[in-house]
Amino acid sequence: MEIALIGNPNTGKTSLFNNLTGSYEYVGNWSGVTVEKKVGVFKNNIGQLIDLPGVYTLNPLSKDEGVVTSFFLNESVDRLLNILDASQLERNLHLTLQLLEFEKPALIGLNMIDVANKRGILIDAKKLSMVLGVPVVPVVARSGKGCDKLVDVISTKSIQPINKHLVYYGKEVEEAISAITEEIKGRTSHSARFLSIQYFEGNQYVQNYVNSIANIERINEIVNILESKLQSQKV
Amino acid sequence: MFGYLKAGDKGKIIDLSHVGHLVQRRLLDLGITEGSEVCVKCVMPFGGPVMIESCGQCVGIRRKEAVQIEVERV
Repeated sequence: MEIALIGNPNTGKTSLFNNLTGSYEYVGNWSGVTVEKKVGVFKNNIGQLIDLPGVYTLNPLSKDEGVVTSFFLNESVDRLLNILDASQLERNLHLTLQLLEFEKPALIGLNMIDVANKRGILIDAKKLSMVLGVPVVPVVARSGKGCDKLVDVISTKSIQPINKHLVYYGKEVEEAISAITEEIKGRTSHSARFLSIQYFEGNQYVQNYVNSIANIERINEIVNILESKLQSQKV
Repeated sequence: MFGYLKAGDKGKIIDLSHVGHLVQRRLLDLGITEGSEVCVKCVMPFGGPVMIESCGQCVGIRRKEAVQIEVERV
């Protein structure tokens, strides 16, 4: 089983990676320490854990962020372990929504709850889990608190990929998503909804990928129609 | 303009379009966009960077880019 660790920069992905695999990867309290993917084996041998650079979004601006997007597009992964910084929940959930659109079995590690509690932030993990439709486990990666529970949830629960559409993008965009879905149906194992949304957002990696598997002209036509529809709405 | 604000002043972003594309994208990733309320935390001397706060997080940006952000005082 391959599990990918993903989350915002400086939220403790590598700390958790070291804790779960028993390795000694370089950890620092600033963004951009990990710039490439690293693979480790779980202490209890339930599978491989893949440490990825931190990203704010799956639409990359720099090369190290591109590592994450190309990993998603070109490599197979069984589960996503999304690490959130509990003290900056709002910013972190932006990436979570993109990950959930990827429609792979996911679970959330709510890291740094000790820091959040100290700042007076209390998070209802159960409710968060209910709203998002994925398991949420509070952890403190630095001290290892909650990591056993996290491993339990990863290894025992048969986590289902969620098909709940958490964000409704409006009639025009949803129509274009369906049109693109129709175009790339059967040509990829990835979520068509994820690919469409990232394509519209201008994600270069996803655009190249979609263009390589589908008819470029048809896709461009759909995008142009959507653009003119939205443009006319603005006026 | 951010240039008029001093440390401790609060403002609302009304126009981000004069800022470089990369900075715009990164600020959006951090949840800072047109309509966001920001607070100037500190302004470093000799044309140095500016620290702004929005939704509980602090972000440092270059003075050059900060003055390109159109802000309305609140």
